[in-house]
Amino acid sequence: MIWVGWRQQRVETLIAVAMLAVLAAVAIPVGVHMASVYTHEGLGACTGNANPVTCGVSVGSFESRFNGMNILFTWSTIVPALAALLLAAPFVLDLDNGSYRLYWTQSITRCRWIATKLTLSVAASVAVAGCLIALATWARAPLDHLNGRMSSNSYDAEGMVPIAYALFVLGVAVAIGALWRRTVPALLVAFAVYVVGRAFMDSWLRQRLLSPVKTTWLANGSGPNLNQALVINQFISDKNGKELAAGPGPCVVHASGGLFPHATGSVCAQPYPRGAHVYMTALYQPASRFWELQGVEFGIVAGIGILLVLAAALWTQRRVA
Amino acid sequence: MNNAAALQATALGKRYGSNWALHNCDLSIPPGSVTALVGPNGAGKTTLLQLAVGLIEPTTGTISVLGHGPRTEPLAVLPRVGFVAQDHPLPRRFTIGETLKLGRELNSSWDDAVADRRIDELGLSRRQRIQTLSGGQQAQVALTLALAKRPQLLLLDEPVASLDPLARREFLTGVLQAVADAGITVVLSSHIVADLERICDRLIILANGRTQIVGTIEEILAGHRLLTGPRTDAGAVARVHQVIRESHTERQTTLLVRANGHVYDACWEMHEVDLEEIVLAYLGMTSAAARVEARAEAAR
Repeated sequence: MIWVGWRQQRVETLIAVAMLAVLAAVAIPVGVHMASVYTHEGLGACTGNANPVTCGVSVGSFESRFNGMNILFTWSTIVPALAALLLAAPFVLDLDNGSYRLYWTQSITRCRWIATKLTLSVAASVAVAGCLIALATWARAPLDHLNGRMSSNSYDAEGMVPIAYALFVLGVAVAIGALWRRTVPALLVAFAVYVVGRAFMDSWLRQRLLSPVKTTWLANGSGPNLNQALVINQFISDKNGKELAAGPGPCVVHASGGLFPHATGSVCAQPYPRGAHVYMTALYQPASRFWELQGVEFGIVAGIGILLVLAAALWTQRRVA
Repeated sequence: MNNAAALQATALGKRYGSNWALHNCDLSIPPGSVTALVGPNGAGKTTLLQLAVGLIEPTTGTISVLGHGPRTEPLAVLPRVGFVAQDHPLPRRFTIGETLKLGRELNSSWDDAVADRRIDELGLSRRQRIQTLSGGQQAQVALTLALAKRPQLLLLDEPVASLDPLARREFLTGVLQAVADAGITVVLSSHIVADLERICDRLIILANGRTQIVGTIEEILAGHRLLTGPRTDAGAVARVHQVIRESHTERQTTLLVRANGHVYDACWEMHEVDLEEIVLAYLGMTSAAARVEARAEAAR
């Protein structure tokens, strides 16, 4: 049965490998070059609270020179998603074109057929996502060293969330496919669900997964180094971290001059009492929480994916003709 | 439960939504027989065969195949049953060689010799892809897959419906050969009556989800007669015999009857009828009954 399952998803697996190969063909040479520039220019010393004067210029030019790597790996996260989508196809196709009637009337139970096919697609999807993680983690090492791994450029392609999204896409595709039994529409809908799900996680849910760290510091003093953190919000506040309302509206200037206005275009920041201490407050996920955050996101997303795969298996076992 | 029967159905029913595809069906198929399951499209032929191989579950009643429930004990039934589904699905991207390997992988009782001999006899190469084969060749490969697992019972769902006459003949010859070689029980469904007489010894007519007639072809042929006589009402005949179909011209009445003993009335001329005509008469009867039923339903 394993041979049959493998033979059925051979083309899909090869396409996935080809996509990874194209990605590697770009990322490996650039990665090697980037690493050598990084070492050569001694940028290893320019992390954390390094001297901004000596490091600022070279880091800036390094980053703008290799910004392509950010773009590449932001888009690379689509590779495991597409691969998982393709790897869901053989399962759905058998239900779609009726050839399940052939497989289920050989000498094996349909339970075994379902289990083998889904296990193979899960394994291949996880492997593709794993390869992407390895590639991204290796190739992006210098950039990650400078900027940390909390920005979505690296967060989405490293750690373990790519595996979670591969399982998610696979689960959605096989679940819709088991219900609908039409391959192409099922895969298209699954892809749309993936895009919406990713956007929702990136822009809304991720920053709420762990309760953020809140730090308040004197505005003209030195604050925490947030270069490598995932900053959720940063605002002007009072001493206790309570935001001082700022927003659009006419500036009110008192005759006494005890208040100072600060206008920027039509938007006027809230005036603050002269001589008063102004504080900054930041809500953020520190860089040290990378694995914790990845773990929570992985648990949710991969959990949904695995549950959907199991639901598809159960539905097919019980309900398909 | 009668373990001697290759297939035994008791009050078997399958409902899809509010529609009974098969209703209160009782039948028993003796081992070693070749049974044709005849009926119009939607009569329940596919439903019956899929129930027999466990692809679907009965709504009511029970079905037992070679003494076991196909759904409750699949591993006691599946290895002993060869099934070719309607439109003979095969993995289109596989080569013939890979398709045979599939059979070997998925069937513990797989017999390479049977498969190889059949593929050679068909003049097919193992490197040909399934999708490049003609409909007839695909049907033959599907039959090979079913036969090489050395089944005791072979179930064929409309195996020849999509084939041209020549391919149809070749396919049925293949089935006949397998039956002669291995003595397996065969149930094949068809809405084409021609050819069936040549290979089948038993007939089941299925219409509107019910069995209309079950028996050997000999019995059925012997039991039916075509009566022609002067125009009259069929009432007198219907008291003794079952009138399957009546038709009238201005001066003549023609009745197809299931004769209950001999027809003694001298005013009727008696003829033998061929199988096709009997089958068509039964199907005509049920469709007329269905129309009456539908009208009654509409009136309500």
